[in-house]
Formats: sequence, structure tokens, C-alpha cells
Amino acid sequence: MTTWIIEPRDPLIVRDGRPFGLIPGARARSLGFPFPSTTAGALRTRSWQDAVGAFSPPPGHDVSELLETAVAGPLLVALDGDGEIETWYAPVPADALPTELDEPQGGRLRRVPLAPLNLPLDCLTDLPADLAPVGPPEIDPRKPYGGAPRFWRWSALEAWLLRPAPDGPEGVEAVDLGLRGLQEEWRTHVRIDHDRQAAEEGMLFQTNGLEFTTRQRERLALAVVSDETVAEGLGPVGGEDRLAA
Amino acid sequence: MRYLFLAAIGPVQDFIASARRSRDLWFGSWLLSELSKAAAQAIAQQPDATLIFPAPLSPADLDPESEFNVANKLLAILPDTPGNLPDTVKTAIDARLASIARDAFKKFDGRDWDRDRAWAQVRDLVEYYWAAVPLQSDEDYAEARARGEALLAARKVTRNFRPSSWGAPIPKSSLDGQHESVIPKEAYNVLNQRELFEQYGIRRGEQLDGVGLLKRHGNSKVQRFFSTSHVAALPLIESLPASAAVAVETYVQALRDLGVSEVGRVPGPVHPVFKNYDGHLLFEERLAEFLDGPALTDARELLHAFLKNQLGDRQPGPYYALLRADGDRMGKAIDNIADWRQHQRLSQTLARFAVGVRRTVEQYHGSLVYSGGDDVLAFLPLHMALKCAAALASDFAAQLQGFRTADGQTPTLSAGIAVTHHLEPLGDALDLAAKAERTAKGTRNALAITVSKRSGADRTVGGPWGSFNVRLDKFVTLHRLDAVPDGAAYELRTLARQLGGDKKATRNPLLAEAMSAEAIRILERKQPNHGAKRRLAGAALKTLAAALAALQQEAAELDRAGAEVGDLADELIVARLFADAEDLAQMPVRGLPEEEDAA
Repeated sequence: MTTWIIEPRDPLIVRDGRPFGLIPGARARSLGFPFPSTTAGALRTRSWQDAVGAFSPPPGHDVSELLETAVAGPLLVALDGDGEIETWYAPVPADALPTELDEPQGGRLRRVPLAPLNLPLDCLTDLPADLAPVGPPEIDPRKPYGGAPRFWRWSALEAWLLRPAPDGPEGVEAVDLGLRGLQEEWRTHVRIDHDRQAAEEGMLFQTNGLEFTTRQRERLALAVVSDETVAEGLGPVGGEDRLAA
Repeated sequence: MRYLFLAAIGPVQDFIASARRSRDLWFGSWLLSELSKAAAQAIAQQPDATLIFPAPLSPADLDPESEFNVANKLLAILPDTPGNLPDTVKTAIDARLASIARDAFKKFDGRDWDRDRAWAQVRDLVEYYWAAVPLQSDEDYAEARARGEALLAARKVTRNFRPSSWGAPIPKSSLDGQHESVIPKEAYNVLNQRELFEQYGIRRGEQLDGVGLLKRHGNSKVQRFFSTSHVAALPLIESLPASAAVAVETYVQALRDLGVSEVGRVPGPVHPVFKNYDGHLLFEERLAEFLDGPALTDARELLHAFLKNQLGDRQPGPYYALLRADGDRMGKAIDNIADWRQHQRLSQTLARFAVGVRRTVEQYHGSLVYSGGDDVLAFLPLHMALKCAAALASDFAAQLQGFRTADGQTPTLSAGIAVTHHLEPLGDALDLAAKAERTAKGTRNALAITVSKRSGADRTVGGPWGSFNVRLDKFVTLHRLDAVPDGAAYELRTLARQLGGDKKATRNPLLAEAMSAEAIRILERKQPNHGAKRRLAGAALKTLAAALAALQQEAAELDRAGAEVGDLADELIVARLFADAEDLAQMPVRGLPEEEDAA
């Protein structure tokens, strides 16, 4: 299995389900991270693209075969100066509840592990009998930490999986855990009337894309794993034919 | 043994916020309140059950469509184990939802739409969770409540749900992109813009699912809000002279003759001149939603003529205010309550506050979207927004002064105001208002204003009640008296950027002092040197210097020394917008306070 790096050169548009068409003021809004179907589709398409980028099934093959191509991912990665993967990120584990510290400090949070709980004596909920509530081992009065990282460094995830334990009173630095998310960029597109050199009425739409750089100028990318062989180079990924390498 | 019963009804934030029109926003809040009210009524009707939150002021408050707003969390004391009560509550919620949906969907009888899918989506809408913990004694109340809250939160983390039955490869709702549209594809090809609006309440290209149609058409007999365009136009509408009444009717009739069907049914007191027509009729860009071709050209000419003849060519301002307010330290105040009767009194106090909010918002010519518990969401015209926000904060503090946190503090109200263009997507306005509210709550007992003009970056100003809003009010007066030197604010902004950089960057006291001295020099340099203007200029300079000193102190307290010059600049720039709105509404101009008048 080969690891493929998809590094968007343009802000990546992975639209939510809202319709987007030739309506004045239409907006294409992106989800926070691409679904596996987006990168799988991009890789499968690229595997049958010819040298000039045209989709061209090999003779004797049918498009339906492409759907059999297994693609794992994507995961968010950070690249070094040579374009190689330097850091792997993973989605934040759902059993790590981020809370403020006892004395809130910007940038620091305390993680509390959530686990299935036995219902206390004589307590009742509407959960079916075969499902348990999931919560911290003790009642925690601290407020949730707003803006906690949604992508953890692999090392942080590994440590958590091996030993999910509450952080000490001093907590951890959020930046040490990982990234809050991908930055979003809005673009407004207009069509210019050549005679008036002004925007044509109604010819206006907006797109919202995901930036794959950080304020610290870190290069971010998507990593997928597949047996399929694809040609390196530029190609469209996601909506509006935005390019990735 | 008694039990403490806690219930949560949703969805909440995303459901309410997925709105394209102000009506969608209002209806989402209203629907959630109605369903919570039905749940609360089902509990209240149980023998010996005691509602703690909400705590209605009378039983009729829980009747359908009462003015009483109910938040989505319920708390009650039951005489015994819940038994069948949770199912009874669920039945009441479902029945109320079905009743509202039936009423909304009646208008589609005989029309082409996917009724079955719409109903399936609506039936799946509500999230209802509950938990119950034993209450050994009244003294056990605080601890039992804490256990109950923790258990309910833990229950909600386990998200059990069934797969949807209505999935299909067809367009999704324009409101949230989640559920399939129930409007047939052919409708968009066959019907023109006006017919789409009349038959489905949608614009060209807009798709709605069953829940979206419910939001758009539910409770159609009650209209408790107006369009964002109307709110933006209010300052101008309120300056219409009585002599314009006939011209208004002539203009509106002419639009009707051209084919504009939505002239509006604005709620609240009927305006003596503009009647209850929606102010969107005063915006050229809104006319394009109803008409096209020669009819649109004619409508624009009619509008220009009306404005020129009746208002001397003054135009409606395009900005309005969206206010979000929330109580500070409410959780700590509740945690400090050991007795359930005291908690009930707190609930009733909040209920009284919420009732007062509606009156206050209407008094300031706004439209209330939601007021329940300590939450408020309202549209306000710019010339009234600051006063309304201050009135709400004052009322809240007065009503809640009998309650304390463990360290002796009383709850206060923080408010965020987003000033945004009437055509900006409502979701963006809501996000901005939420951001402004969060900024205010960072300080607590504060107001924050975020202005999002279509040109330039968003600008946020804020500070504690009693200093920030008073200061801003003075700046509004200065602008209206034409006493703020032209360009001064922008020169101050440039100074702040050149010497101070980012607001958080400057910590050097010497540099901060130098910046303040330079700011005063800039303001002095731009003052006129003669006559009455000189007297006013002297008073203005005193006001600005005093404001700078106050900002310096505030900045130092918040460890932001050096930020005061930028803050002053931003506050002057923001105040200009409110001053322009007051001018447009032709409100009387106040003088400066006597102690600041120069001899």
C-alpha cells in the first residue's frame, strides 16, 4: 500500500449539501474537513487520467471497476520543506472532554476522559437498557474549553489511547495537542461588464474553501493510502476544480 | 421517594440558526419554545408535580401560543419515580409539533410536493432526553440537581438514533444542506418567481425540506418580526412627514399594480404614515426580488420619485442591529441556591424579565425574536439599539439583584450587537452577534458592538456598562453636532497601527504615553479657531481627552496598555454609524453635558 499526499494549492472546497447554482448571491460553503468519498473520488479519477488530464478508461475496462479501488483516509498531515510527511494528525478522540482550568488561562486546557458509566442507584434515563451514559468519572463543574484542537498530533493521540487519564491542574497547552482546524477563506466572485467596467447585476457568488497552511506557515496536506498508482502532478480535488498536487 | 426530573429538548443552536429569512429565525425559536411549553404543561398537569424551571407566572402561560417563552431545559420535582411521565411528555411534544405542522402544511393541499417525505422529516425533528435522580429531602436539593445535570449531560453524549427513511439522491435543503428537498424539480421550470413565492414561499433556486417548509409557513397568522430591510429602513421611515401619507399609499399601490405581492404586514403599532408596509419597499435592490424587466425599471423610477419628493432624496440606511444578550454568572448563582423554592423564585424572576424584554424591545421599535430565561435575541433599528441594550441590562441587574453567587456577586447582563447590512445572509449576522456577545462576556456586565460594513474589515468595540455605552453616547452627540474633526478617527487609527501594532502588542508605558500625547495633538490640530465652533470644539476636545483617559485606565486594567488610541479611533468610527441613523430619523440632538462646555 502506498501513501499518497494530496496538497491543495487552492483553498479546497468540500461543499455541504446546500444547493449551489446559478442564483445571484449563491454561496458554496465547505465542511470543516473532506469526507473520505472526496479524496477517494479524486484519487480514483486521477488514476485513469491521461497525460493531459482527461479522464480516459483503459481499453476493456469499465468505470464501475474504479469503485472497487480501496482508498483509506484522508488524514491531515504536516509536511516538511521537502514535501515529506513530518507530522500526522488525527481527529480528536470523542472521549476526551476539554475543560477550562480551575483558574482559566488562555491557551491551556484540561482533558477529562469520558467512559461508559453505570447508572447510579435509583437513577433513571431514557437510554435503552443496553446503552450506557458516557461521562467523566466524577462531576466536573469546569466549563468546556472553547476552541479546543480538533486535530491531535499522532503522539498525543497515541498517549491518550494508551492511557486516557485526566490532566493535572496545570493542564496542557492547546498548541501542543494539535491544530484547531483548517482556516477558512471566503472569496467573492463577480462578472465584470466590459463596457461599464462594473459588476454585472446578479452575477455574484461566494465560495468558502479550506486553507492548507497555518499562520505559522506550516504546510498541511491530506494523506490517503491505496494500492492504486497515480501520476504525480496537479489535478482537481473537491468543488470548483480547485487544484491540488 | 421524590424525584428530580430533568429534560432537554432539541435541536437548538443549529436548528434556530439555519435561517435565511428573519421569519425562519423567529419560527425556529418559537417552535422550540412551544414544544418545551407543551412538555412543561404535561409535567405541570401531573398531580403533585412541581415545576422549578420554567416557573410560569400563571397556568395559562403554558397554553399553546401564549406570550411566555420556555427554554429547552426543564426541571421539576415529582412525588415519586417518573413512571409513565416521560412518555406522557414525549406524547405532548409530538402532538404539539403535529398540530403546528398540520396547520402549516394545509396550504399545500392540492399542490405538487412530497408530503410523505416532509412529514417523515418533521416527525424525526425533535430530540428529547431526560434523566431522573432521587431527592431524599429538601436539603438534598443542590446535590441532587448537580447529580441530575451530570447524568443528563452524560446521557446526551450517547447519541442513539435511527437511520433516516427518506434519503434520496435529490437536492438538499438550502437552509442546512442536510435533508432532502420536498419541492418537485418541475416547479422551478414551470413556475415564475412570483408563483414560486406564492405557492411555496421560496425564491428561485431555493430548496426546502419538510422542516424548512414548516419554518417558512408555520404559524402564519402570527407575524412577530419584520424583515431585516424593514429594520434597516426604520430610521428613515420614522422621519416621514405626515404629509407623505398619501404619497406612500400611491407608491405602494403602484408597486402592487406592477406585480409586487409582498408589500408586507409588519407587526406592532401601525406607523401613522408608512402604515404597516415593510420597509423593504424602500430599497431598490429588494424590488429586484419581486420584479424584472420593464416592471422593475418602472418600480425603480417610482421609488426614486417617492424618495426625492417626500424625503429630499434621502435614502434608507442599509444597516441594522442584531442584539444577543445573556446573563453573566447565572450558573454560579443557581449553584449557590440550596433550596428548590429559591430556585423557583429565580425562574419566576427570569420569567418576569423575559416578559419585560418584549415590552422594552417594542418600545425601542425593535422586533423580538426570542426572550426566555436570561437569553435575548432581537432586531433593532440603529437609532434605538444602544438605548434598548442599556435598558435591558439595567432591568436585568435590577431584577436579579436578590440573587448571589457563592462569592457574593450578582448576575448581570452582557450584550453583543452586530451591525450588519440588510442583505447579508442572516447566518452571518447571527455569527457576528454571537461573536460580539462572547466579547462582552469576556469582560462581563458589558456591551460589545461588531460592525460589519461591506467595505473593509469587521470592527469590534466594547466595554463595561456605565462607561463604554455612556462614552459612545457622547461620541454620537459629538458627531451629530459636527464636532468631531473630519478624518480624526482615521488618523488616530493610523497612529495606533504605526506605533502600537496589534492591540495586544503594546506594553511599554512610555510608548503608550507618547501615543496618547500624539493623539491629543492630532485632535487639537484639527479644531477650528473661531466663533461658536471654537466653543464647541473646546467641549469636544475635553470629551475626547476624558474618553482617552478612561480608555487608558480600562486598557491598563485588562493588561492592554497602549490599546486606548486604537480603541478611541474605533469607537469614534462606530459612533458615526449610530449618529447617522439618529440624523436620518431626525431625532432631537442632545447637547454635551454642562460640565464639559468650555467657557
